[in-house]
Amino acid sequence: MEKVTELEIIETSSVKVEKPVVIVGLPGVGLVGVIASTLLAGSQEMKNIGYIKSDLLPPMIILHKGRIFDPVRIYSKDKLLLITSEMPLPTEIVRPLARSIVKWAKEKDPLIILMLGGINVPNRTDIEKPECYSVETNEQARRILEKAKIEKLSEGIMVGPYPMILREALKEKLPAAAILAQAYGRYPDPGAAASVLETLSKLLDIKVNVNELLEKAEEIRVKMRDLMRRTDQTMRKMGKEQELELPAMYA
Amino acid sequence: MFEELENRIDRMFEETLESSIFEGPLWDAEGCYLEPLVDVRDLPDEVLLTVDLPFVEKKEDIDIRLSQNALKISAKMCKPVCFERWGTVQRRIDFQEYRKTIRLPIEVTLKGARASFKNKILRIRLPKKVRKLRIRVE
Repeated sequence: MEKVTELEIIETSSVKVEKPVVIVGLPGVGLVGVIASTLLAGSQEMKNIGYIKSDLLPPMIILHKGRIFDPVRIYSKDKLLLITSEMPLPTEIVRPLARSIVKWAKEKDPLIILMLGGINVPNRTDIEKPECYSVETNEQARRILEKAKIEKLSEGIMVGPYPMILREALKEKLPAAAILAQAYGRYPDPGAAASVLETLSKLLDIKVNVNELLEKAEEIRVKMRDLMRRTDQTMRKMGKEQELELPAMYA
Repeated sequence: MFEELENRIDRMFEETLESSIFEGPLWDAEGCYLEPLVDVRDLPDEVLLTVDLPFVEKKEDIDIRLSQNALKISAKMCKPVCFERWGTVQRRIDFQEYRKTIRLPIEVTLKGARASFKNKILRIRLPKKVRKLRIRVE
């Protein structure tokens, strides 16, 4: 009987880089992580160097220009390693994924693990330029993020793959941070993705031209509706709405 | 505590029902229209709907109709959005319209209904048709 693969990170091309920055962009609030990752991979001309293999993922491939791609892929360019996904990740894969990503990153001795995403704000329509906030594992991560002058989130609940990655990174004493832009909870938000990428540019001294993203914002909002709907369904199953609750701790 | 339990049970039923209903794609090739993303919130005194309408320029391009307990929304895009040879549709289609019919969770009234359109997000507020009686606390 074939063994069930919980989760494996497969490198199709070997990557040896000193102190890489591991970036994670997964479907979530406003699809900020995915939109930001897609522009980052394209603008930096990153190369597809691997994918995530797991029997916990739905049986799916992506077809693009006649070629077959795995839905959860890894890209690389210089010191950047990027993990992104074109499908929302089911609850049952979240913890194995977090453990595998942190274990794989630890083997690379990273400078930092950065997760790109959105934070649901009810008044997003009234916000011209979304602000970014961070959640960090340690002082090392804080020192890196200080360059971009991002405000740290101090109270709240986080649900999904990113809090699990943060937790694993904390256990392994690795510097990691989630960079979250104010975003629409249930609509694709290229504006929020642009804010996250501008922050990333300041942190990493890389050039990311977000104008292309802002010019194509409406097109992106139309074309990503299906992914947003599926992501929304997945987030609800995880209990994502708890992030809007008032924290219970009083002491 | 019981209200919370009741809400949780309601959510479980909703999720079971949602998962058993096949959700079609967000496009219709024959009608050449797209379905917009919609968020429906059941608030204490009203139902709040928000609809994402990229490529819709003016409020005059939006049509909203309330019929029994369903809200029909249609909107014209300022330019066609083209999708080409995807999935089972191996041809090019230019979509230039949104259409969506939303079943409302509770009876609403047109009296006091408001709609606004900002940053391509349509917001519709529909007051609930509920007779309110005040209960005095002794």
